[in-house]
Amino acid sequence: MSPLERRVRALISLFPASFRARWEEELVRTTLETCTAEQSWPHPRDAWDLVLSAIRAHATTPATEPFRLVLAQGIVLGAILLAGVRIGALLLRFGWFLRWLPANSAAGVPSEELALYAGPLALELAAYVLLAVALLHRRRVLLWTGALTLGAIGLLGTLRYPGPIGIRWALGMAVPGAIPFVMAACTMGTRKTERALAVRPALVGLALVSFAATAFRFAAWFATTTWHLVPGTIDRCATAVAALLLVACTVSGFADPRWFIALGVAVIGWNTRDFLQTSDPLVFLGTAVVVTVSWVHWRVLRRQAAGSGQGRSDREMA
Amino acid sequence: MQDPTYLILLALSDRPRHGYGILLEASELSRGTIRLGPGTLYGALERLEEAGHVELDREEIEEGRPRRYFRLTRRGRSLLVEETERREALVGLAKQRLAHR
Repeated sequence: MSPLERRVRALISLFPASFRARWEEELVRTTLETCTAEQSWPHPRDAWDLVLSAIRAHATTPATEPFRLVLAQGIVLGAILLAGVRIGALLLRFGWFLRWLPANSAAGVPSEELALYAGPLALELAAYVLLAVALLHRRRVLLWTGALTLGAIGLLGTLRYPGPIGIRWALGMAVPGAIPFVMAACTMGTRKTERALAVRPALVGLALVSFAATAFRFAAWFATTTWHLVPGTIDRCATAVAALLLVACTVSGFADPRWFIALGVAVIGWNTRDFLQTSDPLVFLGTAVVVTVSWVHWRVLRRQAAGSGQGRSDREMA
Repeated sequence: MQDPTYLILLALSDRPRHGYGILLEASELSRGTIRLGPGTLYGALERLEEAGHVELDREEIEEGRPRRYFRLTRRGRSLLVEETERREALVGLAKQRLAHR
């Protein structure tokens, strides 16, 4: 396989599995035909076209697989969304910390702050990088290194604040972080679930979502300080919007169920952290709404799947 | 209907073509102003095939790889005629309006 073909295939692996089953070889062939013999990379315009088309295919390809696969894909996507949101938030917080540091270093760098704040943040970021690398290269060792890193961060919290606060802090740190790792481990463990299915959209999704999460955090901070809102208002509003979206999509049966299962998983995971750390009843309420709606959505899907025959796809039925 | 889809249908209107053939024909039909990407092409082909506007004509093995030729179905042809009439009407209106100035 030429380097060009390898690169083209890597781009095409971004498409959903059902799409690739039908079109992959054709798409590879046609893309290669648009390249000249000297080219070792696809034309940027074609590469961009492939990426955009892949995202579009993910958003519009109906879930024709059996329901349990759809559910699994949704959960994996949700874990990926969650990891993306987490990375975005971490990057932003790390940026703030770096800006805050010079102003405070005149009186000597507060080493305790560094150990408490920057240390765990850097470790968690590193853990996510490890997760991505482990998934891409299918390296179990890296995966477990990442998981242990997250565990260590949790431990750090328990040591710093002994007693129930420390445990809460550690759980709040470990639970949302653990979800992507458990999912990743499961994806690697099962041979039936296609690795590409979970991992390739992940890379596109991660980049987009981290960017969006960073923008969201900034907007939330800006709105909170400008209009003197109670801290956390924007998060609650966002949870409410996500819950409403889920309701609307469940009721109307609109679009691919995978994305809504994913949204449910991401919102639940995200709020678990806040709830564990602050015990905020509103966060709990928001999470409860999302969990309920996701559950209803799941029931609807399950009934549909049962209606179209267990283990058989809609496409086969058609 | 967007331009890429229209061009794909138009490219298939005279005879069955394979993917790369459609890209070349579409580029020629639009006199090089619209250049379809391979992702756009197959995304559109899948949608068109699912809607029953395009179907597989034949499959050949060339250099060890499959090569599929697609053709327009009767439904696809009537969609193309409809869309052409719609576009024609629009162009007619535009010409009238511009002539008044």
